[in-house]
Amino acid sequence: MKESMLSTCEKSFITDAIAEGKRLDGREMDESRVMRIYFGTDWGCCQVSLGETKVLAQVSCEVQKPKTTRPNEGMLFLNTELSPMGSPHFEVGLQSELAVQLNRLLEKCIKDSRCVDLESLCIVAEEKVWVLRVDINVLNHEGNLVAAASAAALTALSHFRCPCVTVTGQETVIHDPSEKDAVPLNLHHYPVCVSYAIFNKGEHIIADPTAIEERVSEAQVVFGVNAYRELCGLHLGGSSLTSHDLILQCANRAARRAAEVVQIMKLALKEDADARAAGKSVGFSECIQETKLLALSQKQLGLQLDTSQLRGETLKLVQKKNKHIMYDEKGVKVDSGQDDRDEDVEVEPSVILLDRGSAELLPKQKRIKTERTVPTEAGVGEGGQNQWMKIEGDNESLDESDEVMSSPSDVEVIKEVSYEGNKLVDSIELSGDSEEEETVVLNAADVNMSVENTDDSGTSENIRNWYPVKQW
Amino acid sequence: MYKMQIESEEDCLRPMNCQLNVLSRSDGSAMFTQGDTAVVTAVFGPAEVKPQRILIDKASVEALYRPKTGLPRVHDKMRETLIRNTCSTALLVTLHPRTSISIIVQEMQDSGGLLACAVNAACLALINSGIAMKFLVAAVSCMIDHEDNILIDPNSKQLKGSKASLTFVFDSIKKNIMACHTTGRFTQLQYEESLLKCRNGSDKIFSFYREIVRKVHQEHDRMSPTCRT
Repeated sequence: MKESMLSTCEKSFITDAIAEGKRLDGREMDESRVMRIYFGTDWGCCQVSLGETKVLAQVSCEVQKPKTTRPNEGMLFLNTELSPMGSPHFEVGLQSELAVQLNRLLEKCIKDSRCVDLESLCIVAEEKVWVLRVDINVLNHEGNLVAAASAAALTALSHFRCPCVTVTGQETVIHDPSEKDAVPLNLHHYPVCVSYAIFNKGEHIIADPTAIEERVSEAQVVFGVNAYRELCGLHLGGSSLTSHDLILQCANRAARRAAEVVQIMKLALKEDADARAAGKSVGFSECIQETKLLALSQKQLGLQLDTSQLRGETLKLVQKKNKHIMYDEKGVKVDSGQDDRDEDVEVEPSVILLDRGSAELLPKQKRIKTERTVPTEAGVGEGGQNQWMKIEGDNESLDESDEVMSSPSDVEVIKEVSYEGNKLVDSIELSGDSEEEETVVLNAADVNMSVENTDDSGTSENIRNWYPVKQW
Repeated sequence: MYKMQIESEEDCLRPMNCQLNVLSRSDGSAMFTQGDTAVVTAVFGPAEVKPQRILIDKASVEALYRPKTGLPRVHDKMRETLIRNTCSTALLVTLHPRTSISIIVQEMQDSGGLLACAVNAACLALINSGIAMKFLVAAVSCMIDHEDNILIDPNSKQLKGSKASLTFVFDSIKKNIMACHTTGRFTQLQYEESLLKCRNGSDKIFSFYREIVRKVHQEHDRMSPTCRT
């Protein structure tokens, strides 16, 4: 879908409000939204929400051969996905301009600043190194994606634990986290991205713009700063001319904000570490706040099943199904229910070895033309004898429809509630004096038939009754 | 004749948590966790449809499943197909011709039973979005271990010792099977027994859905006593 257009009155409202020093959500010009960080059960998984903007990051690692130019360093890859979940105009696949820009900004800030100690990721020089991969998924886009994404990536990297490796001569052993504790990564510093939006030819600058403010703004400037006030990345984009002292002013403010963000990250990491050490439950289920109106949680739900009755029921069902099924000349199923059929047929048991420690006894039966017997003791995944040549009437059970597979005793055809079909028909009024084509008035019967057909067979083709039904 | 062990402990579903309307840009969204498996789903629709996907008599339903790491693979495409088929049967698609309804599922944590969790989350997101449905859907997963015990809603630790795993999706009115996905080998008897157990389990999930809707509406009624729903 294309991004919905912004109306002129929205644009002028926001620009005028900012000229007066007011913002749409009531924040100060310099105020950022609240940042919350939640961790998952896996190491290296975190979700950051900056106001309504939500971003999920996950770090994973793999052993690979290093680059020839850097034989004793590991590698770091950043991948940002603008999931269609984030905004209706995000598309799958094709990387839009925004996605490319976001990716490049994060790479500059995190990769090129060399904040992760890559040399510690080396296992065997020139042969094996750890390759880290950070996947960032945008869940909701309400502005300032770059700040949320950078915070998520850095928090995930700090949270991640690499499996322990021991190298003995020619052998490299990677230990499971349950055997040996995994090793955290080494981060030298935390380069956080802070973004500002510029309005009115550089007169007004706001921190942490929302989606609508970003769209209305004339220019955006993004600073990558770490807690030591070192600049790791700078990006200025848009159509506004800005003076250099404005940039310096912003940079100072950005440094202060970066220090705050790093504090928030460290606090969240510490809380998570404490919770894990104390054995408390961690994970995203904790971030669902049950006190909220739209949240609900339910503890262990026991199923009260009378197991003996259940088993009895199951046996009955299975026996019913495996009754000998007969077909007459037309290939129509006739339910016979004759269990004495066994006497007529020669039974030669054959032993089939299935798996280690299990074998099945399969009775071999002579084939009689109009009869088909289901091998009663073979497993469902076994496959019986070739039945293609004999039976043609069994095709209906192999339908693509993934619906009706219930027992023969309660086969029920789902009938669509057809009331809404009538509504459609009633509201269609075709005028009879169209000059272009012959118009056809749909009857309720036509619509209902097409509707019922689609319902019975899932995704198979519809019968379209748009043309007058000819009576042959 | 199979000899099955008597289950000493009760079968139970893992604890469920959900929060609706977690994402502001989408028409309906839900974050749903079953035990340690967590999934967030968003629904957009009925919305503008691309010309190649347009259907003149009904809405075109599409499902997207995004894994946490890496690019989507064959497994994920399979899940997408299952979710899409289930939801297009459950939704009243003929009410919105020439539109598209997109369901996007993002995996957040995988601790077993991910397919079932995704289907349930999709149903919750659809409830939140307000698109008309014929019935609700609930998915329950179960596994058969090497001692032929049937375990409902297993976590990833239990799944390591499984020889077959089955996921069933039921509808809320007649409890018929809407979809079924299995891996591994099992006998007909085991299939029937798992089916009956899972059907039983789906009742719990339907009552969970009812609870969350009741919670919202109770509050709504309480706050505006003059308007009756």
